[in-house]
Amino acid sequence: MKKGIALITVLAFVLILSLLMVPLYVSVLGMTSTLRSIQVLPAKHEAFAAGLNVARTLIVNAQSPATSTSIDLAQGTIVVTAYLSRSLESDLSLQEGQEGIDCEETMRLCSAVNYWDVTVTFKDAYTLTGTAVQYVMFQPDKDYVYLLDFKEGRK
Amino acid sequence: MRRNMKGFTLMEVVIAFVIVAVLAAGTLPAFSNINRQSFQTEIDLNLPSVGQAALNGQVSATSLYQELADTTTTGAFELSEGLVKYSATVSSKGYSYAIDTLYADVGVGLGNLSSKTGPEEIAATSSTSTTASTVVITPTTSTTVLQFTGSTIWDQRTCIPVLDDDATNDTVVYGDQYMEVRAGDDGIINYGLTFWVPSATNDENYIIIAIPGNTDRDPNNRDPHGKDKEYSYVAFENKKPKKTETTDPPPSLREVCDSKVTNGINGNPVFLPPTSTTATIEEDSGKGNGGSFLFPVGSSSATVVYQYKLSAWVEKKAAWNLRLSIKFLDGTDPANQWVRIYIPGSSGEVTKDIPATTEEVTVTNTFYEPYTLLVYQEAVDGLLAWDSITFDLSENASVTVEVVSASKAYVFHATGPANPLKISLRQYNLPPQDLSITFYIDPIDNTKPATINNVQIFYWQKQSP
Repeated sequence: MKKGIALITVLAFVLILSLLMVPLYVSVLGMTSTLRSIQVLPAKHEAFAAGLNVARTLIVNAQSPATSTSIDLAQGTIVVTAYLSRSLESDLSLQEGQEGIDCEETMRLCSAVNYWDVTVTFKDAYTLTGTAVQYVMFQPDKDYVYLLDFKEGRK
Repeated sequence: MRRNMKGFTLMEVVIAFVIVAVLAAGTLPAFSNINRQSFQTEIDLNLPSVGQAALNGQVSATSLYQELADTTTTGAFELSEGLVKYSATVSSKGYSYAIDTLYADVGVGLGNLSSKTGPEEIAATSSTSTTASTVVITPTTSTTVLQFTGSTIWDQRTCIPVLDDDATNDTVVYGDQYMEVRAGDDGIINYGLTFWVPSATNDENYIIIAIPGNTDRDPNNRDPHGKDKEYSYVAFENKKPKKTETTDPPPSLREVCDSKVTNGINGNPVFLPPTSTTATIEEDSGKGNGGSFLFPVGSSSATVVYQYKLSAWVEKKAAWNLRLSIKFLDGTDPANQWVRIYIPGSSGEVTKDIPATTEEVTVTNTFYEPYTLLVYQEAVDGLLAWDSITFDLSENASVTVEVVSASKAYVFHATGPANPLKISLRQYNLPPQDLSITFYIDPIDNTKPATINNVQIFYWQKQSP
């Protein structure tokens, strides 16, 4: 009769040990991921805040119903796009001196309120979407742009 | 007969322990590093937040983390279409983090610029107030003081008794291989020192005296003032120390200002030649142990620097006692009232260039100091809102702007160049009250100028009917 431990026993033992290590590995991996995501938070928040400011300028200076720009920030690139989804035109005939304006030429003078769908993408990985309402005030830098219902969603 | 043994022997246990100990010792470096790694992780994790805080001007937050973050730099750059980029960079222990954000002052609307005002509307007009003319940080000039790399100075002081009108306010500055004694504002140097002079390779010991050619000479140099009232001369005494150590003067060397040569000037004073190249002056071989030398009578307008190499006649006389009694001519530029003593370095040689004219002597650097500009803008009649502040910021300029409104402070930071740089106040909804704005301007490189000018404050005002 042979003494000692059978190879199969050793293998089984190693396998069991390995399986026991899995939860530990998953925990460590989870902690690392959490730390990384926490580290990314300030960069992401600031990028989104910057993106909303970019959206204001995009909308105020828009020359077409679809407009987009990309800006490099230290923490990554943001891409801001705005699509005109609905536009309420003012009745210019009610305003003295504006009767002769051709509304086909420029959307600015003929619009009273514009609704825009805005998307801010950070590092091509994080996305912020929402609506912007533009109150057209006849001079671009006097417009009001309200930012509504912005939510983050992963791309 | 072999016994059937059970268990381990002591030796086996000890060996096992040793093996385990050796294996465990391998983990020690990792454990010793664990604190540092933990700290580094803390830095890595927090720097983005510190950067964000700095970006938003939260000085308290950045100071909270000042132990972690080495530097915080922020800047503002105007992009196109009313966008201003604000940047912050924080770094610590080799780890650096940069973060940007953008602000737009469009799209927030204010007032109504329509020329026709309805009954409910408040008419507003854009107004500008220029409150400050060009502000330039004025340079200040200071003399560069180099490190004295000469010999050991045992003692040095202003000597007593003094010459007539001596205010005993001599000052000393140190340069590369020299010490410079300045006359103060009385035109008189009356100074003594004892020091060690390293020997050159040929065992020679010498020093070099450099002095502007503006010195006066006592017309009654023998009488009636007496020997101690004599001017203008340099006298020295040197001794050969018995030991080679340099920490203390040899007992044979007299006290500072009390050297034999001070009283011996009526012996054989030597008249030094007026020369701008180094003239070698040996001690009087007959007298030994030093000598006394009268400077030539110069001119108060002279810019030449005379140079004299005072050399010991006997070799390895390393312990020196030097006495200076100098009066500069009336009308001499105070900047030219000095004497330099070049003492050889460890090689025993003076290796530095000695200026030949006074114009070459003063090494000056221009420094631009920080500047604080306070602007107080009173609320005008019919003020609706503060709009923005603009100013031109030059290259090399770093500015922190503190805007105080109704006891609430807002801090902005920017670096130049930016023409113009705009700080939008609209999003802060400042009340229509007086505004106090302080500009803290700091040159990034203090050897280069930095300017801020054309400060303008924009506001909205109720339109006159």
